[in-house]
Amino acid sequence: MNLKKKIFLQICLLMLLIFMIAFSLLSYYLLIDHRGQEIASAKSKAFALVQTIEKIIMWYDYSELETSLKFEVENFPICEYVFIEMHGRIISYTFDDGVPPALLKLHEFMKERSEIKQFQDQNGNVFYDIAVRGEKIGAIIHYGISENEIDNHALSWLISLSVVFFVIFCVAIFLSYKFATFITSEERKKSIEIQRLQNYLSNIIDSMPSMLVGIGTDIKVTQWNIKAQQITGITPKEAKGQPLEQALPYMASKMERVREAIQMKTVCSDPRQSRVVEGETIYEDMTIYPLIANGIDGAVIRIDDVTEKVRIEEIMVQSEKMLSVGGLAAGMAHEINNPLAGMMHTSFVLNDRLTNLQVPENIRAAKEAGVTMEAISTFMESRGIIKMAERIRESGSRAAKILSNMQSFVDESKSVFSSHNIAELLDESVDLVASNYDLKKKYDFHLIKIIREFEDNLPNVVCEESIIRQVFLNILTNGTESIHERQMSEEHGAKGKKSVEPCFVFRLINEKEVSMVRIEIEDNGSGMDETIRKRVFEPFFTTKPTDQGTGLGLSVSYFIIKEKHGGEMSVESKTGKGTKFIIRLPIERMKL
Amino acid sequence: MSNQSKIVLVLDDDENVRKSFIDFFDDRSWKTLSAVTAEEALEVLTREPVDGVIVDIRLPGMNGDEFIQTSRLIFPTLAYVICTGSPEYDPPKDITVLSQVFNKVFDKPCTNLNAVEEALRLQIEKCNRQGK
Repeated sequence: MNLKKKIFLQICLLMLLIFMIAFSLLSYYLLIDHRGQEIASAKSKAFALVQTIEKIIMWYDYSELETSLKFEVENFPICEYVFIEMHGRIISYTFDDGVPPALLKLHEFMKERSEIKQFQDQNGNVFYDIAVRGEKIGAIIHYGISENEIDNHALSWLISLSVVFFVIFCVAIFLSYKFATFITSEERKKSIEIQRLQNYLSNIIDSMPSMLVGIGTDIKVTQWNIKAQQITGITPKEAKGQPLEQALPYMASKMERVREAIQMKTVCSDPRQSRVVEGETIYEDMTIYPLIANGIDGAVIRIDDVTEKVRIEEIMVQSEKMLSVGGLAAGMAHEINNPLAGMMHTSFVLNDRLTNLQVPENIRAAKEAGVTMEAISTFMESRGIIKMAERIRESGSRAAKILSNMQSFVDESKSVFSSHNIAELLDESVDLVASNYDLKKKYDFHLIKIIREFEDNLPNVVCEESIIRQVFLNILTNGTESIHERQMSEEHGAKGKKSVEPCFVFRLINEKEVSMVRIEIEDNGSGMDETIRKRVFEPFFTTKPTDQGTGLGLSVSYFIIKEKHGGEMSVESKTGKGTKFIIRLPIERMKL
Repeated sequence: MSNQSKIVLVLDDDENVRKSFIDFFDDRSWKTLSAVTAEEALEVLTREPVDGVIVDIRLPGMNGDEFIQTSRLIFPTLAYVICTGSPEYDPPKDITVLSQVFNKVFDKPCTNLNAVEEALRLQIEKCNRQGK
């Protein structure tokens, strides 16, 4: 806008100058030099008139004389009067009341053929009297022009010229305005386009999920996108112009690679670079793209945080391992279960024989040995032998449990999918956990309140009920233990403090648009920190003592939901607040 | 005891498992017989009166389920309790629904053998009632 005004103003001033010069030149010509011109033209008119008059007089047509004089006066605005003098006698004139005597004396002795004399009338008006002698007839024709008329005539010219000039000036200004608009709008369009392109480019760069850093040949930062700002906390303004190793200190070891990439104009990628941030290892893919367009030298460094991906890959690798292990476990199960059964059954019988007073054979054998069953019992009890036998059985059942867990990884095709009500499956799992916990007498599951937030009209889900129940069981068992843990720590801690009521929240949500049912199981147990949360689905990862958990429960659950049902499973948690497992199951069976 | 005269046949190819069952049932005043293979068990059944059989499924030669299908026709009042160490080797569904077979399959190793005894006792009673 500014530019447009400027251009317009300049054009206007220039034109004004030109017009003023032209106008003043014209005015000078019209107002100063015009009298001579007019007098000269009047003189030639007078000569022409003389010829006409001569003809008229020679033909003795005197009546024509007066009309031709009047014609002359009427048709030439500057011509004030005409009269003819012949041998000192006036023969015709255009005055109303006779020829003023002053005029007659003006040309008393004419030497030339023509003569111009000035005179003033009684009103002070100035006239020029042009006297021309007709040689053939000896008459003198006086042609009078008024100075006022000449000036008026010039003035009217000047006025009409001014009007024309003004109109031209207006048109010129209008055109120059249009011109300025045109030029500046082109400029504006260009600058808008440039601005738009810049925005577009930085939008593209900023919307990239990767960290993008542009550098020049001097290895100084030229570009710094939003992601880079998020990761480093350095704003693009601060980063631009800084040497790369200052903006990104951990790139210091990569300077050679960067230089090489720029010089050789080849793409350099360094995948899976690990570095430790706040005690956690993060993995990054780093790629250096040299700029190969003409005229621009430098490179773009792209850094992607692939920590999560690496973790997932690790889980996948583990899962695959588990699959083969699962296959192996299935084959081995029989071979291992039998010796385990041998051990555990024998241990059971051992216990029975040492303690059971109801077995007649025991009593008989004791009597034969000269002791009583009571004495044997007491001995066994005091030496802890009964407990030992129990421990043998416990270890055995743990081995058996690991075996059966490992078999869950087998990707069997014989699994039976059918339509089930998830709410019912959840309730069945709750019953299972409840009985399980009552059995172990560790913690009373019934103390935990269960809040059910189920959406109405939930569709049935096609799934394998027994393994889905196993998933719920795993989550509920973990949740219960976590709640128990929190209760314990709060009991040990501040005694006066009222501890929260232990509870589970179940939510079932129908995600119609993606044909899925979302199952949320939330506990208000002890929760876990981010490091643990990221690893909960890893096989053999456990926070429990080795005799309590196999570290397979949640990874099996993940495998079941993801691989067997094509669903999704994730977990959110806050230390000291609780944990939420989110499972999304497709309503129809997915083709896997 | 009420089981005084009851006779149990333990069919399992694993010696220690077999022996542990025998010892256990001995102590509980059962009369015990044992067989390593299904073929041997069939032979024992023809020789001795047996009330119930503890059957392993995976066996050398004839399988446990085949053994049940064969023997139940000859001995219609015989009770069976399945106890298997191969979870992947599920017995066919039609075996567990038979009236002579206890409806729950026990996994080996069993943590509580009393449950197996109880199951066998119940199944024998049921078969006797059916036989009458």
